Amino acid sequence: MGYGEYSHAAHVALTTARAPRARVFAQPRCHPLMDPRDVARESRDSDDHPDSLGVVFALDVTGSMGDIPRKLASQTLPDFMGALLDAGVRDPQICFVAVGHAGQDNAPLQVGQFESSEVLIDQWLTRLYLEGGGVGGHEAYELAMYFAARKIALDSVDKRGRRGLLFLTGDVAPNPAVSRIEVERVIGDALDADVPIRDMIDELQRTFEPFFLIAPGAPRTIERAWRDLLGDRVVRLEHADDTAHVASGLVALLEGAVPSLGALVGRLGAAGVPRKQAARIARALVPFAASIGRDDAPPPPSRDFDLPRGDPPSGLQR
Amino acid sequence: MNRESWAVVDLGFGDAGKGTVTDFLVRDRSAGLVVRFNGGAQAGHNVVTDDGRHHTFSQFCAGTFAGARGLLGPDFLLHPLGMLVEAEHLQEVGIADPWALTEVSRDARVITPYQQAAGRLREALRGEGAHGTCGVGVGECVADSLFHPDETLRAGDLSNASKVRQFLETQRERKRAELDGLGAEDLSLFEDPGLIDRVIDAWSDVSAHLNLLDRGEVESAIADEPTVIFEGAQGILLDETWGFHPHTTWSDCTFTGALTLAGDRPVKRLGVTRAYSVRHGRGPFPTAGTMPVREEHNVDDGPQGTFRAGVLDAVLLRYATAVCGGIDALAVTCLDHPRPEQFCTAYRTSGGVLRDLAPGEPADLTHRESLGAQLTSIEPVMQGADLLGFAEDATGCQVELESRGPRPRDKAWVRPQG
Repeated sequence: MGYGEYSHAAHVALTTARAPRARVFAQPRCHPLMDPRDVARESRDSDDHPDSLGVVFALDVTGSMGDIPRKLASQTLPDFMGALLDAGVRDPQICFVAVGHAGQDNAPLQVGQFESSEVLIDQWLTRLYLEGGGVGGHEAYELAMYFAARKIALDSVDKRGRRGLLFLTGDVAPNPAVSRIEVERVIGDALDADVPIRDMIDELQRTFEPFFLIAPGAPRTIERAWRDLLGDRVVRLEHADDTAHVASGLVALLEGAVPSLGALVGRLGAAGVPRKQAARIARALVPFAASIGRDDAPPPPSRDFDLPRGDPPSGLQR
Repeated sequence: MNRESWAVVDLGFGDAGKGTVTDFLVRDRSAGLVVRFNGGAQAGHNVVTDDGRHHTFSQFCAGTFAGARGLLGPDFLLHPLGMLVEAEHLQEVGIADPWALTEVSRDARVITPYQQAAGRLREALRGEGAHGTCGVGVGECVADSLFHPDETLRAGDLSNASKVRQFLETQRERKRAELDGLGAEDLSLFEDPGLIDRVIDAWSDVSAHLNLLDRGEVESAIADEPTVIFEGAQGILLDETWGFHPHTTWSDCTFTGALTLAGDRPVKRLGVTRAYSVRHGRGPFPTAGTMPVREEHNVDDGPQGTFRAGVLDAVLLRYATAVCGGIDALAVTCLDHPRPEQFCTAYRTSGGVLRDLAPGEPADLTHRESLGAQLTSIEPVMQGADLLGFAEDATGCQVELESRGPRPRDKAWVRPQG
């Protein structure tokens, strides 16, 4: 009587989960659903996810990043949700953002939706449009920050006073200001004046903990420029494959899901991460872990007074 | 003008070999048109050519290898993307342009991914009480067209993107709310924001291939053709009215649809059975397990569940013949398989020996449900007999066509046809 193979195959192809790897970044232009113009994004609690925490991952998709964005989107980031759960975040909601060149690209900024399911997250990754190429111009990190600060509403902030997480990846120095011309062109807001980058970051930090993950091989001057703005929240990656682990490691340390860096490395080993990679991840995380006293180093001797240790995450103290 | 038509209907639970019989009839009778008058994308009609090519026909007609045009009638349940997948396979087995051979009634109902998913979620919720399903969404689609007739999408609508979008959005919300209320587990499909865009894109690809016919064109396509084969789907014992509720399909599996479309054409009603009984998946099957069987094209996987076989059952053959209003000719397939020498002639029940099942009134589904329940508690009475004579006695009709294998050359008329 019955037979459903063709329709089943068609149904699976249409609805399944993960698009074939090759199709990540296959978009010929900015997907209409990712256009940041005149839209807002929300990370809301639900019955299934009562303790939501919005996590924005902004991926630099310009040509200078080489093959890294493609590898991240197709191999590493699809598993980011699991890594966040492992890191002790109860109800993570992930939103992917793609950062291109300000001023010239078709899509300097692409913004997904907050999703709690891996399947749906994967679809946003599939929709990303890889800008590539592009000489001159600068990466529009500040547009991502502007969008996060002014266009994203988080229940974790509104209800629990707990800030969301923003991860930026890239290899270029920050722009000194948010251009009102670019904001109007890309996002649609009319501003009276440019917003200086420090003001932008101060505003952003009311609702997000920002981290900047420096791509492997980027010049030290780039790192310094970002450290000047974000302090210990700047992390230099040794290898692009580590991106999701480093990001989730930052979360685990911040949330206290692991007591120390040593414990985190043990956990990576138990999760099947090769020893060599776990060591790379640990090295990348040392400065941040040290800044919150979770680097396993003995506390510095002090006769005068006790240094505060292990205090709750307090965001940036620039 | 010589106007010959045959309607091919399965006397059992499906899988009798309607596809291979249709292919033979097209070749032998030089038929130009094959009409699918019931069912839809859940059909699986296997045809193997003399040169060894095999295809399981689902939404293309089983006469395709033999060069006949196919017509998916107004009652057909269309799964557009399933057609796309099937067309690709047909191209691999040498049919250069299967779409060019196929016409589709504008009225054919379209199965959506939401209906397909909802059908499976519902079946999963039934747990042990599952009805049996092909997982295509046929039942869901028919139920929607009955209970929400103004929300029915038809083949003629596929090219209208804005209508399709509005339709899918309405359906998604209604089904999500309903399934959520039932406690269905995985509603991620209904929350996928990009699905509708992908469906519209994919459907518009299919729609570009479809040769759509309105009602009058369907009538004249059938009326103008000298020889037409009406290819039935499923089996009479799964019929939406006469099957053993709830293990039925949402389709009229009798000759009714064929006779309606045929209009004033005379139709020869051909009942098909294997040399033994088979059933895929759940539901009553009194002689299950009474003989071993080898099976090449029907396998135990997918949502249909296991494939069972048993000896022919005269009670069920009599019942099927009675509820479809009788047959004019009988075809027996799978005569190359080991032939059993014992057959089920009646049932032994707690209340005595039962030879016939009373069909009851058409609307009385409860009656058929109780018949089905009864079938699970009886014991078959077995008697030795000659296979063909036994089948003729049970159906009251002569065996006209014998099939000893899957290919056209394995089939032969018992006596020459006019």
